Amino acid sequence: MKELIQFYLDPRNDLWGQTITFFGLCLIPIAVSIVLGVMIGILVYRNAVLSFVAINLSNLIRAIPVIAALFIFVPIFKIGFLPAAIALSLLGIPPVLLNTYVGLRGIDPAAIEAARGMGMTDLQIMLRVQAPLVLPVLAAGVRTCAVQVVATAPLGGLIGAGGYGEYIIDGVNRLDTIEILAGSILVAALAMLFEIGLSVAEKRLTPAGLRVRAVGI
Amino acid sequence: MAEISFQAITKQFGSSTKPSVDAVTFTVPSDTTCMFVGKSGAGKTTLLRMVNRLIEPTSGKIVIAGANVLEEDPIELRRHIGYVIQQVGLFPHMTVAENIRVTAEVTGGWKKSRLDARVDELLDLVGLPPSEYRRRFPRELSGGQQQRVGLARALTTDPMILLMDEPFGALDAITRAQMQDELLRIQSNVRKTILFVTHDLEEALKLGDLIAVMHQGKLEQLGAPVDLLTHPVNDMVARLVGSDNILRELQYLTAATAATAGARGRFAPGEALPGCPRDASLLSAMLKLFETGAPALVLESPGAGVGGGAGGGSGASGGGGGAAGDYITLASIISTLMKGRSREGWPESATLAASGADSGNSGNSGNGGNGGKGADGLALAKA
Ligand SMILES: Nc1ncnc2c1ncn2[C@@H]1O[C@H](COP(=O)(O)OP(=O)(O)O)[C@@H](O)[C@H]1O
Ligand SMILES: [Mg+2]
Repeated sequence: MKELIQFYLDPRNDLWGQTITFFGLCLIPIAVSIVLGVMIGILVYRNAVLSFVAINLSNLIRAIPVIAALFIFVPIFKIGFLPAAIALSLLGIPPVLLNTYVGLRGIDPAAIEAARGMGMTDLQIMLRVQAPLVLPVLAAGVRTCAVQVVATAPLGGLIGAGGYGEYIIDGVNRLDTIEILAGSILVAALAMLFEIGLSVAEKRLTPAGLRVRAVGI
Repeated sequence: MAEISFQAITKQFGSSTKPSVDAVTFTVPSDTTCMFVGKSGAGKTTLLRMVNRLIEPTSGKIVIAGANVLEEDPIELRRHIGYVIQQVGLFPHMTVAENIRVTAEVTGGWKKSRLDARVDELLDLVGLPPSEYRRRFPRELSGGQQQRVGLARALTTDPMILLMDEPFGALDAITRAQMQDELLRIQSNVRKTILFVTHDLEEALKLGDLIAVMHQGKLEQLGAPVDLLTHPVNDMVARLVGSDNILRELQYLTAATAATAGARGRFAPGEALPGCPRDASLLSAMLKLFETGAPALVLESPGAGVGGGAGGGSGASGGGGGAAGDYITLASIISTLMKGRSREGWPESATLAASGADSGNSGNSGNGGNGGKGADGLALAKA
């Protein structure tokens, strides 16, 4: 315990710098995944062919081993933060995309028909009807995405992305249990923080009128 | 004020070889209820949805109160037309009150306090006590209650036109009959021009001032329910409306249609005959003849002593002397039923085929309370 605190306080370990890097390595891919996942979901949900392609591609991505995904971009972007961030973004898209799609498809078409019939514009339909109904489902997807990205980000240490992963990788290389532990604890804590925070957000976002069954992806 | 006129309106979907709605031309006068009937796929929904431009016509015009809807902004247009569909489509995340007010919020220009009052007013109108239902969510309502909210929502901004696409089609027979009565009551209060799609003929006869019979995209006949029963333009319409269905005629034709003058001489002078309102159904007149054992009934004008326009027959109500055509007898009822039946003789297979399943269960519903339909000038029986 004491050694652990000593490790964190040791300026050579640059806890602050690594924390910023690690947060960047998580938050940027999560944000990119949300934006792209939602956008693609909205673009494809009305078209059977596009949906089919998007969903199967998502499943394909999920089938790629995390390690492999991490190394895929190395030949193009070399090592460092960027290839890791891109790989993590790619990994994060499927849960967001799938939940966006499922959420949109789950809206009663009659509600949309009624909305159009009463003279709502497309924007009004989106803001007043679709968004409130999709958000809880989407939140479940974001939670999955976030936890997955945080859990995978330490592997970025393998390709020199920095962050807490560096402690773990370095610790393994040097068989330094304290260093391994120091990195692992931080990663686990962060993953749990995301999980809890986003669960709360998800409940908050579920309108009282419906108890949406979150789609487990 | 909101007369709706269809002018050679045509819709051919890109994928199909023949038009779904084919050069349909007719006019629905302001404040009347026009029922679209016809088999599934006849083009009723397509015709209806062209009115608020959820479907764009291929050619032709729809003119509402003098303005061609094709020249209006579709969004603005829809905000001035109420729309009710079978699946209701309430917004599940909004309370009943929010569902009703959203129509006005989207349109804009409503004060919040005015809107609160409006919501309660509408809930009362559709028979849902506001204090109990305002805060409920759609999933806490029965199907019938949901459709009441659907109707309230369509009325929020007090549109002059109401489009209804099989609004009661998903309800059980009893609830459906209740909702029909409610609609009659509401319509007598608010007076809208209503276009109402149904495939239930009893519903059409009960609710319609006018019935438009559609078949394969074409308008086969437009007329008052009695016209359709008594003068179907062809066999298709005759079969569809079951104008050869005796029970239906007894239910929907009025005693006045069987009025006869010739009977008078055959009664003992001064004999007191029971009376029968002119707008009573033939069925109730016949039952009264059986019950009382009288040889004839004296037709009474419904508005006798009240309505100034009751005209010639109003003096008859006592039971003494009356003008020509003031009696109804079993013989006159039978001869009315036999009229127009010469074509096919007594109904056999056609009756069963056309109306068997339908009138079997919903026939009862015709006898539910009547909301007083206020359809002036129509000789429809108030069962
Ligand atoms: N969006 C559409 N695309 C292609 N064909 C359609 C579409 N909507 C309706 N139709 C066709 O138009 C015809 C009339 O349909 P509809 O108006 O729904 O009939 P109804 O309401 O009388 O049952 C049917 O043959 C139907 O298949
Ligand atoms: Mg239809």
